[in-house]
Amino acid sequence: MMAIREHPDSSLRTRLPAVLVMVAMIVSSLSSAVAQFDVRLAIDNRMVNIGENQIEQAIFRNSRSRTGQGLEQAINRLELQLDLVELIGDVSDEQRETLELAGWGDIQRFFDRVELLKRSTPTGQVPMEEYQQLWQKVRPLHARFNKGLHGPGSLFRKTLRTTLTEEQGERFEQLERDRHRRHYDAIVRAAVASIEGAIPLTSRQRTQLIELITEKTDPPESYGQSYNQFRVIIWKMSQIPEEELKPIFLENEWKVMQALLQQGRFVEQQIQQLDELEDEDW
Amino acid sequence: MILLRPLMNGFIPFSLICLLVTNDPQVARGEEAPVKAALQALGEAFRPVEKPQPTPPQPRAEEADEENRGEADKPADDKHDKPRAQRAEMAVEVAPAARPVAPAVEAAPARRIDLLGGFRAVFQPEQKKGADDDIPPDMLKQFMPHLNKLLVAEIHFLRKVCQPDPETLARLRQAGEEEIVSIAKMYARLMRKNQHSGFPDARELLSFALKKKAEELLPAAAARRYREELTARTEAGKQATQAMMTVILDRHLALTPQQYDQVAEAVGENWKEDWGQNLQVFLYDEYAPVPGPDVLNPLLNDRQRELLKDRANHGRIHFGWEQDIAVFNWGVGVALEELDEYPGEEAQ
Repeated sequence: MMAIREHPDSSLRTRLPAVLVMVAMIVSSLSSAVAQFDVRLAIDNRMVNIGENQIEQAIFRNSRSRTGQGLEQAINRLELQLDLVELIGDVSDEQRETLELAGWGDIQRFFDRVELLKRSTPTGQVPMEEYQQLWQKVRPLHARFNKGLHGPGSLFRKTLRTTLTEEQGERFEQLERDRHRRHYDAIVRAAVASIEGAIPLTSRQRTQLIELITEKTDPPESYGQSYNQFRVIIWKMSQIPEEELKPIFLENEWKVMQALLQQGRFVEQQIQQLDELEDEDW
Repeated sequence: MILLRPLMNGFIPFSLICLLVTNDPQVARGEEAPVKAALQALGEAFRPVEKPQPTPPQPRAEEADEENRGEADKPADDKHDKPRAQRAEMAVEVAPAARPVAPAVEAAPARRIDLLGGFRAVFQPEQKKGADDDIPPDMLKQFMPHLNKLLVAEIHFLRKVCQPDPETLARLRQAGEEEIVSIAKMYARLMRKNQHSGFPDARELLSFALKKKAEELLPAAAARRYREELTARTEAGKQATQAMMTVILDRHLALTPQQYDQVAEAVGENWKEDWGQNLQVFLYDEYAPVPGPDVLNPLLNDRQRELLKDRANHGRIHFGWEQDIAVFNWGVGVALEELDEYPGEEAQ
């Protein structure tokens, strides 16, 4: 108080009560607001709102998902698969119908699972724990839909083997191999470009490395999750004999490359585990 | 809004607010002129942060020289290869030009708002142009470890391609060191503007600066080799991106082999520079950019068009500038170090 009395600015004394009142009011309003906010946070932390359309959106991962959109996509994909089969030539109407039926079987099976999940999921506010459990059930369905319902292991693929003639089957397998090879070559190029971030390569090194990988390794049966694609290439590179790979790099580059290859050796195991997990879930 | 609620609900008398903001007891008594001043002060204090006034990009000294020399004197590939990053930097500067910007707000209102707590962070007054020249060294520190590793990698590349003599190497290295400081400052400026993603590509900026210096210092043949290698590297990255984009479209649309080639070609013809900033984005289908329907639809059948329309796309993601330069992308914990001596081109 002494300090205030001695203050040269006399207006401070006149304003002081007002300022004190205001500070007190702000503090009290703030504490009340903070308390309300805390309660809201606590509620938000424990409860999550699940909308009616949310399961479909989570499985098909499209914010614009509407009811039935996933099914439309699945049907379109089946028709495109059938178009691809027809590229081998001489596919009879009967063969196409059989394959179509098998494809519908895959679609039916998948959407039965989706429907089951939707029915067993309550809408509205659910506890966070329940929401997380739901997410565990959604994940394999999303992964399956993303990979395609008519890929390896599907009824469509099994029926393909028994429906096509031997010659047709070989032509279709060749078509598929070419497709996988195109994808693999693209992923190899991209993985090498990504390696160049750590080890800048000359044109000659780049060409040699890409050629070596594509010549000495084969596309994998599965890349696991899509984010593993570049790491799969490192794993494939780790299978190339060192005496063929090492000469491409300078001494200091090879040190970094070795560390990278060491990492690649664990990728195969991880992918197998992921695939097994997904199959179990499915 | 939580903080404003007591004000809006009228819990705090308006005169008290005016008093606090203007520091004038007349205001509390409701005299007209000071109240007007108080309202003005409040308006200024709560004015949203304005973007800095636009200024045309200033070319650096060597660029100005370059321009003075005229197009015909420039190296053949220079007309098109001003780095994307540099263009982006210019865009950052030029973008707000569309509307006139109010004069800078003086610092005083923000000081008073300090009395109300954390409002300063929200209602920070505009920074005056030129204030970013005094970026504290501490702010630059966060960028330097990655940028230094990037410099090592790029100097390694330059030495591998050109084998400069020690004196020339020292000057090239110095140019690189200056450039990474300049990049760090640019990043710091962007962060000050609350931009935390989509930074210009540091590798591209650095290699552009090194290329300029190499043209100046190295024998013509060596400089040409370096320029060609940089161009080839950019082209390889672009081709890899285009290939990944086509793979993603094929997986989604089940393209026929003929369509596959057509789509790959169309992707190349309609290339956008920002597609290639970070290849990692193509590991996440739902975030990967693809050409629009105007480019793809003519190559697709009806079913494929429908699928393309329904393709989930969550917009672009940014992995951060550190991931964009990709020095440590693989997380192996071993970074490239320079060799003492580099073998000649034939030995490589």
